[in-house]
Amino acid sequence: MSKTEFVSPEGFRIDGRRPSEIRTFRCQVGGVSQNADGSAYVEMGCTKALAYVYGPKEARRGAMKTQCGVLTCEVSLAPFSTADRRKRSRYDRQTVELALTIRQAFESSILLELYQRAQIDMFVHILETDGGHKAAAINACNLALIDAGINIRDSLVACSAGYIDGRPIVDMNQAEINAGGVELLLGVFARTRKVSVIEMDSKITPEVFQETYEACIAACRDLYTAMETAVNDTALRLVHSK
Amino acid sequence: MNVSILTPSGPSPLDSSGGISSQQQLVMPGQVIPTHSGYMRGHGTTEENGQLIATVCGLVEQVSALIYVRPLRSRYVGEVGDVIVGRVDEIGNGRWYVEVCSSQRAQLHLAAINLPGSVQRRRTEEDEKEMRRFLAEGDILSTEVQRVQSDGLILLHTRSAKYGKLENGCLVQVPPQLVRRQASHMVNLPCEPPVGVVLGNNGYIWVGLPQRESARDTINYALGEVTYQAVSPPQRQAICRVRNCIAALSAHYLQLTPQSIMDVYSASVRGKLEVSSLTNPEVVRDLIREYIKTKT
Amino acid sequence: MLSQSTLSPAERRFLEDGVRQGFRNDGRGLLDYRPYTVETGILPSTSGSSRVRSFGTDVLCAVKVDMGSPPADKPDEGVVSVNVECSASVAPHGELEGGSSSRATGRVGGGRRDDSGEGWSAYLGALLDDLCLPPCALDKKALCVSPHVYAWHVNVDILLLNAAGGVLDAMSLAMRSALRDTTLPSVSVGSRDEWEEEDTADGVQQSKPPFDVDERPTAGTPFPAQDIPVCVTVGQVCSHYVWDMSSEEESCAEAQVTVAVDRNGRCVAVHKSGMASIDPTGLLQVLKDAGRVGVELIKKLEAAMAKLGTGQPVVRERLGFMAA
Repeated sequence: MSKTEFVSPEGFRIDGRRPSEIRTFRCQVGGVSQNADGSAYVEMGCTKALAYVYGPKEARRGAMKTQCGVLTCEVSLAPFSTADRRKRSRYDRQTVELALTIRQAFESSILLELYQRAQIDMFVHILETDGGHKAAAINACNLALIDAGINIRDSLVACSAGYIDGRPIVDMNQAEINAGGVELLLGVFARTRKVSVIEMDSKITPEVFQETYEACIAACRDLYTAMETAVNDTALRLVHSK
Repeated sequence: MNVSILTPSGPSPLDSSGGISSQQQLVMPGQVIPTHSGYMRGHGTTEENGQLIATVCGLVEQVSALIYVRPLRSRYVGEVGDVIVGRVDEIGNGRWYVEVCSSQRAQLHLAAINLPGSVQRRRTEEDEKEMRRFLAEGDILSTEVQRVQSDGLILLHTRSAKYGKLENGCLVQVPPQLVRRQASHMVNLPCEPPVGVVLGNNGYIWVGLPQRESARDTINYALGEVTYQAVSPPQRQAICRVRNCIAALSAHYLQLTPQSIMDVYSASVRGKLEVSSLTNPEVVRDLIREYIKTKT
Repeated sequence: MLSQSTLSPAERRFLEDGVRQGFRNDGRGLLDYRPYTVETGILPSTSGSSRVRSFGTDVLCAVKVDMGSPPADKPDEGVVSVNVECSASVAPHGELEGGSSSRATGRVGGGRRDDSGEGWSAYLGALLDDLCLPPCALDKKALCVSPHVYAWHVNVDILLLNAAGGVLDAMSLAMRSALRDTTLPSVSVGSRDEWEEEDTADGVQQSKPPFDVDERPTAGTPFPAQDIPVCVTVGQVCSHYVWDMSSEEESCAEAQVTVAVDRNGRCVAVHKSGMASIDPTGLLQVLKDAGRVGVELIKKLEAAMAKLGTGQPVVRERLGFMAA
């Protein structure tokens, strides 16, 4: 049985992309929910994530902190999101971990000291996964926070990357992830380039890590350009309406 | 019976009658705002390494030395003197906690309202127990912002005859950015028959029977003056039409002023549109397009 | 009640007087429906999907079809199961913790979903199953591939993204349109000699024939969804019957009746909720009107789906959540 080639000698991946090319990024900032203060929808290739932000609003009595606001996050992976349908409980380890990752990432970006006695709730729905659903979730939350007018220091952009056939590849789809190998998730601030989220669970050499890391940072930059254009377009539409 | 099922359409390309002037700058969070020396930092900004950074998506505004970013969408941020329409959420500790669509509930102290019979005296424990007689949980009222504390807490007062409990109408909620400070927030629109509108700066708008003018300044509003009145069918039609017009303007993110509401109202009457047809997004889109054409 | 929003006594009186005059807050008559926006085929990885929106209520439905064994007691039928999940941002009964009430337009802020949220989801799922998938509406025998051996397991997942009145109606529309969008792949089951020995979980050896699935969408058969009913909910407000209620009207309704109606206007199932009792003559009129409304809804739904091009290979680009 011949080994599947994920990066051809000419430098093309199985879906025709170059190793440093991200998938088609589409998003809708605002207008996804009638009730939420902020909402966003993100598509990275076939992966689809929806984020709603409610707040800032009065914090629940038990959760109230005196010096700064409270941020909560709930993630839900729809049963139909994966190829094999799987109904997950609310306390599923994967979703709880992802919710925690997202919460901690945005706690560093939101100026919570401006929201004393208030609470901001984020709700994420992963509707379809084809690899990179964590990155899509983070990107959707970022756009939803911008839509809600919540004060954030900088935009947080996330992307995944791997290393296959001797080359680092970015924004992997499920087939490439299933091949095994590195899976690095990075969440980076757009302006300061500081890293807020970093996740990887593979044994690799420092050189491979360096290459993968740099490729991922470059991919985040590309993603941010796309996100910035979308936010700009939405903002111009609102400004023109006035 | 009216049943319709529509297929979705993309965002409508509205005529760009507004637009950003050359002086205005649209920023995204994390972008650097160019500044001169001696500036003061306002809302929507933060300072990092000597640079002024925007923290919300919005337009940069400058008032003398103060530079701030006005967000395009956000919850209501209180300012002294704003007229607010709120809903009582809870009563306790000698105050009403009023929901105003802000980051915290606003507070209306017992000392900040007028007592029945316009009596001027200290509030007693009896008054505290009787608070529900003035305003109960769920009641809607119009008030004014007295003070905003440093942590953002809004303190309200109703020490004027024009403020108080609202009756004989319904509430519409719109983004707070669409209701700017204007000459009068409590207007009787010249519809046929007239409709009373209270435009809250916090985005809550009350539409109902016209408010009656009152000559005396310190009238007790909670007991006796504001009563239930039967709403006749033509009055109800007018009220519901105004409500739908406000919802139409809000859906297309247009400023709400008595003038703009009346213009859309007149356009809908001219177009012989049924009040219920204004719930159809396609009808609303055409109506707003026509309104914008008449504006330019 | 499916939803509650806090209304002041003044707003209640205004609303109730309006109902008595036959004129609701948004100008609709008592029998008028708010327009629904429906789109199908928005999740390509599923067998069928749809999204139904109506003035705030937002429902997403996805259908996934799997090959499995027929149930032991009905060896010539397939299995269809409905699962409802309410987004954590939709707290049941419009209550938020900490005493903050929801606002007049039924806006439900992000309340933390506790166990009652999951209870509500299970209740809605069971109700939808009873109302919209009774034996007379769905021919489960058409889902059987090979009696005693193979049958389709159809999982219908409904995700309630936002609730602003008329939740059951929107869910039933979403389910019907998603199932109409679903294609059952063409399957060929191997002959008797090709049966393979397979170990089941009990360690007992069982023979199972191999099967071949033709993935091409044009080769499959559409899911038999023509007779699936839609739900029509009516509320009783001050002894008047109000159709397609908003969440403010739902909080004023003393009782609610949901009728499942098929495309011929026949009533398939009825469910009543709420504390008040309903006058029987009034109920008969409600059933008659429900029949008319249901037929109209299904007719308009079929027209909308024809416009979208359901069941065929995707002709136009699906907007999905990118729609306005």
